[in-house]
Amino acid sequence: MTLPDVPGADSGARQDNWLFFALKLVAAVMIFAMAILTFLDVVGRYVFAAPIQGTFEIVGLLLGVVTFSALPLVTYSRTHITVDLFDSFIRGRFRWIQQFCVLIGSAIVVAFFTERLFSAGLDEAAANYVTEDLGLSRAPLLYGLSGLSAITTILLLMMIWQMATGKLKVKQPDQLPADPKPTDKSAP
Amino acid sequence: MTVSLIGFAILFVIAFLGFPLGFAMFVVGGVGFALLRGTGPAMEMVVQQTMDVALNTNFAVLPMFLLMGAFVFRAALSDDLYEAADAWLGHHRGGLAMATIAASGGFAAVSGSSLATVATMAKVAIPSMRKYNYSDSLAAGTIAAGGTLGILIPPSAALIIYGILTEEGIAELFAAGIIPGIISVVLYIIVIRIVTHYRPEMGPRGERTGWAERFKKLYRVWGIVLLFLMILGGISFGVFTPNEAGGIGTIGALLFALMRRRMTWTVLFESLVEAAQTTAMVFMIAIGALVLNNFVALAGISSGVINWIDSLNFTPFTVLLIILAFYIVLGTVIEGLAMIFLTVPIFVPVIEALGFDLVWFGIVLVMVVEISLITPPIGLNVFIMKSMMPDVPLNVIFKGIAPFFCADIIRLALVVFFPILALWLPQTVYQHF
Repeated sequence: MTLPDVPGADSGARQDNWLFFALKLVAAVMIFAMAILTFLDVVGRYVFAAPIQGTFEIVGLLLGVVTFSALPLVTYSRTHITVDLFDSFIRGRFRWIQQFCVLIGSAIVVAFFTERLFSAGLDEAAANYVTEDLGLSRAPLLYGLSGLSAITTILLLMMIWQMATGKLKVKQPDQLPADPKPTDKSAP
Repeated sequence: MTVSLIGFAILFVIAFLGFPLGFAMFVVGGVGFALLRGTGPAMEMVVQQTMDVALNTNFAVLPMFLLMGAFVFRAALSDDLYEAADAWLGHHRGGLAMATIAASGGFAAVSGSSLATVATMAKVAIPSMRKYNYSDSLAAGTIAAGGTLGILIPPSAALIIYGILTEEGIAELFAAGIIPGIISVVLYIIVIRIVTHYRPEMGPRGERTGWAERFKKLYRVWGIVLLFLMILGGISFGVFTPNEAGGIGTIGALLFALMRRRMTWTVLFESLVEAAQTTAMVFMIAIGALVLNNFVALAGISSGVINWIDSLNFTPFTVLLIILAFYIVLGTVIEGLAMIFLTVPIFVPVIEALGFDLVWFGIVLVMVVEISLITPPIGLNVFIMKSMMPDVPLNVIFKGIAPFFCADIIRLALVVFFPILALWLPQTVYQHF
């Protein structure tokens, strides 16, 4: 598979304040919990004939938190997957305009996510919808996901402001992630 | 039909202008749906699709295998893996190249990243192949091609994504990928055999390793080999669901990294965050692609295309060959996942209407993606090789890849003409018909 290696590594975006640490911590704990829970469920089922009740449902809910807590990180480091075919041809002033437009467009999309998830939470709460196995209400989770999406929107607005005032630099085309050191045979 | 074509035109323009692919598909799909069906239903549809992806337990398989890959990568086992393969294969003519293929296949399958495989294996394999006077073109070609192996061999992220987009079972897809994956390893080894048969100077024999030493080297990597076989076997024979295999794989890889004393709290935290971020990237596109799917279905683009194909009087098979030719051409400029995401909403309904099996098509599609990584002008693996071997000209690397490219085309033809190669396992184990 070809996924970008180590997201955020080349973006130059500093992600070392408390907000990013908190988001990373949430994402890390949730994804780890998901793996451990699944593992324990399998071991429970095959070794002790006692699977953990509701694993299937909980993993799905955790997955939502993983996705939306990592969204601000990916967005801030500008490492969303793009088609970069023409990336190296857009230069100078056009590059600035292109990236400014991308930020504005992204902010609109993510703001829309924020509203949609919140309203889905309201709908589920109004309908008293609960999950099948454990009878959990998903509304608080959906409000939470909407909140994470809201954080992403705010970050995007900040980035738009920083770009307009020249504090946020234009992102250059991706470099190859490999180590460019020459190998042991020297050039003839 | 017209409205959907306009939609696609807009999608391609904004995607090529560098707009995040997922957001671009989301906007085009959402707005298109709203224009055809009204704003209310469109608002309902997008939130439904978002929750269907982000809260879907079946898709948890992706972050778990990504996490396993991150752990395996940090366990730094490439040296040991290569040494073990070398001990068993190195004394054959072209044996080091064969060892590279074997080690790359194993490493790529568990690490899940083609780029990481090429970069890591190059560091291990180049010095040793140069020591034995292997030709640069064979060395570079082997590593670049070997890096593509992991895309198809389960656990494969590309197949998971295809499963998400088409609602085909991930277990069936994994099972279907196994035999074509083995065929590719075998064909690559045959290629090395043939090349070194006619040009023995390109890949001289290495030293023969004694049996005791062979087993000693194998012992050092037994953990990961066992994990790999367990996941592969568990999925092929329907013992675990893909999610369960992901859970076992992740915890197994973590234990493996711990045993090798490569795991610290910082490394653990980095691995977890990395896997979460990649999940978010992929899921954003998956959401966008599913929203786009809904618009495509509503706009009847596929039925339009199918009617048009009917009017041309082509057989379904001819249409398939045209689509594949298009993919190989497209793959020279776009690659990897972007190609899957952009084309699945358009082609899969057509393929389905023509009466082809979608699990089989998933395997065919992923093989075409593999080819796209090594074809000029934009073969990503080739550029990584170039940065690892700066003194070797690009055309020498491409020359080294050419025989492997031929092997890929042969395999593609085999699976296209004999779908049973992909479908036998899913049919036998999962009753997929």
